[in-house]
Amino acid sequence: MTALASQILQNRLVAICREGAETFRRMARSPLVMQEGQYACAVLDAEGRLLAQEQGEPSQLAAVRDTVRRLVDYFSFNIADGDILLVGDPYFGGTSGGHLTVVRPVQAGGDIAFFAAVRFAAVDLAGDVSGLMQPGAHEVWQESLRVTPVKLNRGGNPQKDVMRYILRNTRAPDCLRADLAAAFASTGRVADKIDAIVETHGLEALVRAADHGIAYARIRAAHSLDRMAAPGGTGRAALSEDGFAPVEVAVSIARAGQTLRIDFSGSSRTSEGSANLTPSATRAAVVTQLFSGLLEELAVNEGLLEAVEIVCSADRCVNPAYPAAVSLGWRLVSPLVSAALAQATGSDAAVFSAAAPAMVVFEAVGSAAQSEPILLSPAYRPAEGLAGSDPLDGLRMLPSAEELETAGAFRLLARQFDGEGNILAEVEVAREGFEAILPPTGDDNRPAVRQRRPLVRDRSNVLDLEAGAVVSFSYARRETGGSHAIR
Amino acid sequence: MATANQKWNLGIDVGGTFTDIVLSGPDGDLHTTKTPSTKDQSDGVLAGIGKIAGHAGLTLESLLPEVSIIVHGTTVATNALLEYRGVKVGLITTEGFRDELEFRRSYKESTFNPRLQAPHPICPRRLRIGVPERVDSNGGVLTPLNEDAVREAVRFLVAEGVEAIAVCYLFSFIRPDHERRTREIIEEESPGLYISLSHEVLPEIREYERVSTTVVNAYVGPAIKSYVSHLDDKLRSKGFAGELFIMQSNGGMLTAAETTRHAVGTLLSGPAGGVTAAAMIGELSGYKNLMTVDMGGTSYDISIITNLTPGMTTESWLARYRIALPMLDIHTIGAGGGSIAWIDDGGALRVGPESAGSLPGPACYGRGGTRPTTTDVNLILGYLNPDFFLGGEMKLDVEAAKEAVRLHVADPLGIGVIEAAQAISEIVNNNMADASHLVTTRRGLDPRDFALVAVGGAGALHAGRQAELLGMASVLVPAAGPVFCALGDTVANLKVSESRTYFANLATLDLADINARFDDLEAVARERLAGQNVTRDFELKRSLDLRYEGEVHELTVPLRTRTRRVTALNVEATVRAFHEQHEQLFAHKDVAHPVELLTLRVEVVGVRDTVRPRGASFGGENADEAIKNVRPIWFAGGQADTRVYDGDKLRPGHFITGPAAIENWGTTIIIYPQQEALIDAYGNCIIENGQAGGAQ
Repeated sequence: MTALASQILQNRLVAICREGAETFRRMARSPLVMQEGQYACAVLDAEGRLLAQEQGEPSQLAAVRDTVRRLVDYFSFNIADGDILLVGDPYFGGTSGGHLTVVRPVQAGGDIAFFAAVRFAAVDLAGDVSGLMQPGAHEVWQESLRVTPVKLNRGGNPQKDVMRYILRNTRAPDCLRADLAAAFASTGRVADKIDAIVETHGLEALVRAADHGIAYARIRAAHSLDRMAAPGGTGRAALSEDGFAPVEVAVSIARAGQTLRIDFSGSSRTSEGSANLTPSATRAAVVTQLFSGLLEELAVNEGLLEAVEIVCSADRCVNPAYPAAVSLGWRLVSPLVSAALAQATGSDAAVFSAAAPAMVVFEAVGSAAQSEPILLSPAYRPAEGLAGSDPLDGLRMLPSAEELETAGAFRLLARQFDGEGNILAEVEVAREGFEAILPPTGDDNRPAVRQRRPLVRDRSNVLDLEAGAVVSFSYARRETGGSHAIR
Repeated sequence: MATANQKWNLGIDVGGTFTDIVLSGPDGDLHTTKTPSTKDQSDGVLAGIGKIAGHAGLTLESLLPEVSIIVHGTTVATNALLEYRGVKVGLITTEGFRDELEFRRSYKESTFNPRLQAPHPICPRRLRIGVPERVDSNGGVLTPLNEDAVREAVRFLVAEGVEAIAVCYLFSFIRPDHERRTREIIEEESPGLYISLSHEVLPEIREYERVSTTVVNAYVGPAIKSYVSHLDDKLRSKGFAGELFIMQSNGGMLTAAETTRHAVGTLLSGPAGGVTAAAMIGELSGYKNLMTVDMGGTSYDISIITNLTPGMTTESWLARYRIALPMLDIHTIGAGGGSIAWIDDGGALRVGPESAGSLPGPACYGRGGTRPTTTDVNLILGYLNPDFFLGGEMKLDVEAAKEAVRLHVADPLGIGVIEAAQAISEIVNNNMADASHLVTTRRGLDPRDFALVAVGGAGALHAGRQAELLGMASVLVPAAGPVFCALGDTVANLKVSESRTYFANLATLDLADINARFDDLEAVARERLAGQNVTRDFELKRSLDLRYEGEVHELTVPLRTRTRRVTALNVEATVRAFHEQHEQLFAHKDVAHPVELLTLRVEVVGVRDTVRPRGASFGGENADEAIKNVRPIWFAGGQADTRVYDGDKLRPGHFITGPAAIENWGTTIIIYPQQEALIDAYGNCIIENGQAGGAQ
């Protein structure tokens, strides 16, 4: 019955992560959390092994684990009960700037035994333009504040200077404050529940359960790989980003025992723009493409993340050279990873299609003391007979036309299928004072803006919107029967 | 023997297998019975009334004239939606927004599935028509309604053979003129067609939520209208002269006429009676906070009652369609008696969500099922008596159950059949406990503060173990468990929930306007309660949907006022309550953050003077006379010789120490080791759990 007891306890850990994620999502204020699903809640052990995680979208899959592992190493023995750690750095296990990870150590048996963590996308963290997508960036410093590991609480005492520093470096301090409070509450609840399990069942039983869960996921992943159509093959996918050299992802795969070895070394070099995928994001894209079926059934853990061995030489678009910009990596490069892997494995379809057209709208730069950018993308890429968007969008929820209009900034003029299964949407800008950027999609499908006065002012990539401007979005139907075609 | 001029009440709940009937007399006497459900649900209803009339020494024809009220929980609308057997529906909507129903705000039941199939289209695209019209968020007309386009759309839809038309225009909840005019045009073009207008069905902001609820109303409306009318005719032909009410998803009841206009409000008509009954039983037994678990053949339903008030939600999905009306909050997981145990390719033991259903059913039913189910396991472990299933009406095959467990679980895992059965049982119990944890966590509650009410055929088998896992001190197994929903029907109040979106910052609230709007809402609610003669005693409950500015999720907070007029102090008190509620739910509040108002809600409850069950005096504690036999039952600590009691012979005051089993028709109660049970004054079995408070 030991295996059964372990299975039950592992299920409980998964349930705790779900409860923690639910708490965070319902409390957070950032629309990137509530509407875009850009968050994760996880439990890790003292070495930073991921034991269970619940997330709202796939880019989060490996980042909590990679970040906490680096964090444990960074603080070494300097983590105590009552500390709350914060980090947000794409080059410290992250995926892109502005994603913050809040980590709370959980003590058991006289030592730190577990970590409860929440990772989320802040609405803004002092990038070049408002928001997290920075199409004009060449370096990571243009994208956001890099939050190197700090303690927000030390031994239970809030470090007000640290909090003040973080909140001074965002255009949306109220929103970020609420999101951090949500992360505190969520990790606190998770920590309490772990305490309760340890009290009831003992530390040893919980550790055994965690090991069991990891071993189980590894077996399930290996079986999944066994069913792969082509266990050895190659694949390529590429795109051209405005003004930069093409980005190409090339993979070759080979089965190595229970794992799959995936070599990205043939991929193009680090992009001069921001279409670069950090190693953590690359792993997330790989795991989603290979194990989307399992991810429906299992909570991701160490066993699933380590079912693939990723090989890549330095200075590649899927392992960029510091200090390259990375804010559009997930949006642009993860579909390439998905498409290349689909080819290489003989899968009939990439899990990710190209990113949906979107517009990031914000108060004109320099005009407001606080500004919460709005990620506007009123529809999704549909597929005939299928529900909703593809997994790239995670739990993303379409805005309600009535809520959008009531909030006062936009009016959704239309949103419906055209005659060919694509979705067309038109949004009218309701008032003056907005600027916007149009992040690339990877398939030249950015929204089109119609207005009377010139659209571009002094900054090449920032649009100056007028009241009455109409933005047209076209969401091309995605193909599901064959490998995804990306230029 | 009943006498003439007595007035009786009937509660009738139609389930998938049985139609349950409760007859309550003016002096508090209760008669209960079950009869097989029929394809035309009204046949089973009439048969059941005839059967229970016999229990009271009457006939169908002599009972019905003496019945003043019939309250009916029906699954007609639910089945029509779940089985996609509603009528052909057309939708007329704002031009440019024809496909909101299909977009579903991009909602997906599974995040990572790249091939998740779209739901069955209950209103396919060619029957969805956009017409030129547009109202803005302030109620101004941007584009007048193009009446010619409406007429053309109606003619097309009628030619296509639709039996109902749903109408949903943007911002119709603020300015409903266009929807009203559209109704007139539909009535001109096709009199008698079922019409569902969004501002009447759900006058709230968010077009997808509104259009989905409105279309579902149209989809199931004609079916419920036809059924209720048919049943009413049949009852009256047998002499019924009282009032027929239909249970609603909000836990109240409404007249048959009103129900046909708001058919979507009956989607939880069946289970609603159960939640109502749980609140009543809890009140009688002295428990105010209850977690009701209903374990049937395929599912495990959890609902929460706090301070005798059932939890409500506006976030329901049914058959993959969004129903945004206030409904009882019932959380369902796929864990029932028919849930199948299996080993996955990682070697883990899993139970459900696949179910053997009732056909072929569990292996022990002997109807061709070969895979092991929860019921098979309960039989193997001794919880179920093979000769007393459904009171002995059905024999269970223990060897078939063991063979199924051996073949599919024990042998693959290299363990014995008993060990495998115990493992399956533990997985099922823990799955249910995890679901219960999530349900309470979402509401900021702790299961240890609740008593567990166990109903459904399998509920009382697992309840004792659930209490242990959840750290709950008490389990309540109602005496009327087998007809629980019908019991709730007999005591339900009339209830109408009305709402209007009212978007405002609380700092700049126009109190005169708020008061006027609340008055309007109350008038609409009272209008919907007109035409009934059961009560003139009404309770008014008002609440506000509030959220911190910038949040997506709002909380419904009861308005803190003792008078009809809402004052500034009332609003302040309500906002304070909002902060407290937010902290309870999310462990966080921000009293400095602006709070915004989204929706006004009114609930008018018509309080019935219902006859409550009479309690009996306690007799002696010794229940030995009720012992049927002793049989071995497997518990976590091993096999124990367990006394088995005949439930029919237990009387108030009887005290039983675990381990023990109580067998009733349709349900068996297991009292686990270290638990004690008392039969209370109403015949309910109250189990006290000696291990309370120790669970995580």
